[in-house]
Amino acid sequence: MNPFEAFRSYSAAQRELPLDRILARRDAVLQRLLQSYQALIEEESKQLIWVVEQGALSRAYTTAVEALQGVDFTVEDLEDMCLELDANDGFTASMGPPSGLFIAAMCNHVPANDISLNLHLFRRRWPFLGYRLPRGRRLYLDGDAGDFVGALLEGGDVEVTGNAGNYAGIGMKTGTVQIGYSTGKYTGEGMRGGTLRVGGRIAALGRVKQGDIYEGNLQVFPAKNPEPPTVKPLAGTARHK
Amino acid sequence: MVVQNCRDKIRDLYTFISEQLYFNRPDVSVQGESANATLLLSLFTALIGGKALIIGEPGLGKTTAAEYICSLLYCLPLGVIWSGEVSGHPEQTEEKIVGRPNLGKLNQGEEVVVWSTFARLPVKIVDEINRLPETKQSLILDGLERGKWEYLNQGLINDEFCLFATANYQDQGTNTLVPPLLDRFDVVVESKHPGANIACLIGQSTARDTLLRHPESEGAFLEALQSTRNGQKIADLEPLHQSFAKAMRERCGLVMLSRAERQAVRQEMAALTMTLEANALLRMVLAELSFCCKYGQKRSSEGCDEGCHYTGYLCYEVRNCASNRLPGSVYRYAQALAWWCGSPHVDVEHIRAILPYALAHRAQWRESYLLAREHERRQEPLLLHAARHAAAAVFQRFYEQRHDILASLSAAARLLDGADLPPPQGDHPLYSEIRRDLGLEQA
Repeated sequence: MNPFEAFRSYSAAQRELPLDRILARRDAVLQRLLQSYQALIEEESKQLIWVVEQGALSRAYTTAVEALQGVDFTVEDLEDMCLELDANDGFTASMGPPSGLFIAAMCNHVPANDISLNLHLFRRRWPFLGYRLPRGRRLYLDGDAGDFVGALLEGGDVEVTGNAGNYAGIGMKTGTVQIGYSTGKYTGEGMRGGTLRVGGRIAALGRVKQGDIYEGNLQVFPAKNPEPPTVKPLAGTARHK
Repeated sequence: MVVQNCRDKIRDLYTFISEQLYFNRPDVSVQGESANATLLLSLFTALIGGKALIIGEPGLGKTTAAEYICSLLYCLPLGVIWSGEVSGHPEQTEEKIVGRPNLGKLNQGEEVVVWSTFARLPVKIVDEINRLPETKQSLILDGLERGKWEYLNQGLINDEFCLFATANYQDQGTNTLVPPLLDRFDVVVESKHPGANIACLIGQSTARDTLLRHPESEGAFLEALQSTRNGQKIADLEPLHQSFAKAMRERCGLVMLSRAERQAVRQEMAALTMTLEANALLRMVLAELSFCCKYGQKRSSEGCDEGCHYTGYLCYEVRNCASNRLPGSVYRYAQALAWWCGSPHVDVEHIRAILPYALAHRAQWRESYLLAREHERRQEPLLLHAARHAAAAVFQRFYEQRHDILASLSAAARLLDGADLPPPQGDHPLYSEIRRDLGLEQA
């Protein structure tokens, strides 16, 4: 007598663990994002220079957006891509690695309105985080951001819990940039609208056109009191154009 | 098609009883269909010829539920059911339960037994069984097990019978039901209070007592049953059943089952096989309720040591060993449930639904286990609640390990035939049982 006879015909189907499926999908998305980034690098390396010049930035951003077309990714994939770029991206141009612009393009196209990145996890300080962030999106950056944070902001909300580098809020049109501690030089350079709040100190304001800038509770642009603001614009900022 | 018609008829009977005779709330749900467990399991008991113990507070419809179901399923007027009932009380005797000598014949030097209506009828109801003293409970053990009754040197065998026994909760007039008697019951159910609103309706309903009465048929039945006292061959009761069925059809619009239809239903149920998963689940349950790593198996006289590796399993929480009647009860009632639901197989859900009712009266839990359950929020008596808790725990383990368990059982089937495979390994007692069957571990 075989008491297990009924089970002889049982064949264990290939068991698929949900985690395996999740990891496989994650790997596939990450591969596609890396391919998109590689396409951006190849395109930009042809230009030989990578400077803060409106045309160059706009072109690079457009290339990044085009490279992301058809890639279905989530905020979690965005975090994974940041980790990947932080560990392996060796490409650096004169304005820093274009990976920052690529991350900004991802933030602007990920299907989520609230995006949070823990910058403490990364060694790099990417520039251009929050670049052209559109209205309705909120980018929460926990840690210290690099240069050009919130550049050309298009109505979104950028919040940095730590410090920001130079050119914070450069050319921002509308929206809010909030920096927890201090910003570097040329803060609000070319700013045309929106609100820039700095919780700590502003090293130096840039040539601000329009918008509101606060240093702590004090509005430093446009200055509300008749006395000259404690933070003065640096002379000769044009050389940075 | 015939059986499909029978299912419809039986469902109609269930609806009729629940709407006209036995009012209560649904308290069990299987495959999206809710029902009253007492009514449903009593219906299955009557259908498959099982044995049900109905417990509950006095006056909550334990006996009447059984009477209504038996009357409608076996096509017997209520008066006949009543005359065949046995009451449990200390002065009860074998002569009143089983049969007595025919005194007239005895005077002539001839031993002829006059069998009781209880012994003769296919429907057996023992009211307040726990008022029978323990010594007298053994009088009915054999009869309840096999439908085999003996008196003097004569015997009577019921080829079709079902048993219902009712029991109140412990009071000064009750006795403990001995484990061998308890084990003979397939399931235990509680006839619950229906709630204030439904109870109020019961008080206003007067037709319930007369709906299944039919004095004309009752007289004919009793006369036919008594006619055998004089040594005559038992009268053919089928015309009487048909006559009662006709009366009920005219009175209530109910179509009752014939004996042939009951048997067809029984065969259809018995033909339902278990899925491999259900089979594995049942094995897991039995392993947990019978396994002991130290003493080979559970024995009610031996306790578990503290710190045993298998402390997390039911073998640690239970004191006695699962009897071989347990899998039979679970299987037969799960078949009935699967048939009721129209399922082609007995699957895990059917086993899971039946298990607490088949286990509750059989398991003797450790005191600590019962104490932990006693004050938990529940809708059932403690013994049913504890069994349901235990069944849920095993099901949880089964759900987590089912692929490995099934693969191990499959490997065991091939290993036993000499295949060269690694022996099944795992933490559950069932793996140990498999290794014992494969001769890899000492039993």
